Amino acid sequence: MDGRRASLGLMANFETFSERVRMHAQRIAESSAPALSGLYDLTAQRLVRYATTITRNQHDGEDAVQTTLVRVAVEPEQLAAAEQPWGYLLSMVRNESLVILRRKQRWSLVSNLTDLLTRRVVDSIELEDQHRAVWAAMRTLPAEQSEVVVLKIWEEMTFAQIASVLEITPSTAASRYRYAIGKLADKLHANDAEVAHE
Amino acid sequence: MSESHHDADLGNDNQDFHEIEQRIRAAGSYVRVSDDLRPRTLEAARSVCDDTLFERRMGGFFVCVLLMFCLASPVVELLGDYQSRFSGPSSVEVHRKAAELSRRSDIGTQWGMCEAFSQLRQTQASRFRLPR
Repeated sequence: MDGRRASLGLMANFETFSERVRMHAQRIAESSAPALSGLYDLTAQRLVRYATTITRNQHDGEDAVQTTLVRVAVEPEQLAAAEQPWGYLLSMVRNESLVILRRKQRWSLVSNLTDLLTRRVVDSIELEDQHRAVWAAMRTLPAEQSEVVVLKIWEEMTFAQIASVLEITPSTAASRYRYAIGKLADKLHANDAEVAHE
Repeated sequence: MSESHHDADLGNDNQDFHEIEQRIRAAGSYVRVSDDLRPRTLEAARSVCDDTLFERRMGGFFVCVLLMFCLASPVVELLGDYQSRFSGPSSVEVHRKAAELSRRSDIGTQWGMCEAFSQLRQTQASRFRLPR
């Protein structure tokens, strides 16, 4: 019962956010590029986080977000007319990220976090280490698994919503998620043990 | 005994699963966006939109020019046709024609002029005649 209520809550969040994205897209359609700042402020942080997870490099992730938002500025009508504008925008960023990923093939930089611009966690080096461990572990996952984790945990989407963004079935999304969390748990526990040993 | 042990394992697994989710959730706000991404994106969008607007305006201008050319060419042709209908020979030509007729037919200059005008009238009448 609680799970169902939580799921309904997530759907409501997603739809509310989608409507805000649609409203900004309509503003861009009315007044062109200057109105893009509203959409940027609303979505950039989340889009960069998603794109960085797919491309495994923050600069590439930001390039993907920039390209996507410029495309939205030129043709905002498509975003405004989408059934779920937030899901549509995530799909656009995903496509751009995959294009960049295929072009650059940065597989050798999987565990490197030097590209990340991070927030300084005040008075807690341990917490910062934990966050870095999570990001490092996420980068070891295949993009198809890490993106499900991002959408499920950071974007608080249901498996049905994730499935519509990634164009897969909800059960595939769920199994990828479980598999990814299992792998992340192993890596994070191994990291914890290493830290404790040191 | 073994069933309760199994339940305990499942409970631990769920707890572990939940803990990992919590750790991942907490790391979500760790990465921040570059300071220059906002101005870079807005500038790129403005530039692309301006280019697109310019291209659309140029496209519209060329379409208008093409349309005007298509409309103007038959009008010019018609005007040219009317000009050729209204334009007649100059007085020098009429005088030359009158002198030639009077010399050839051995008539006076005045009759030559009269004949020249008669021929001119006939030519003009044939030009203005409606095509069947």
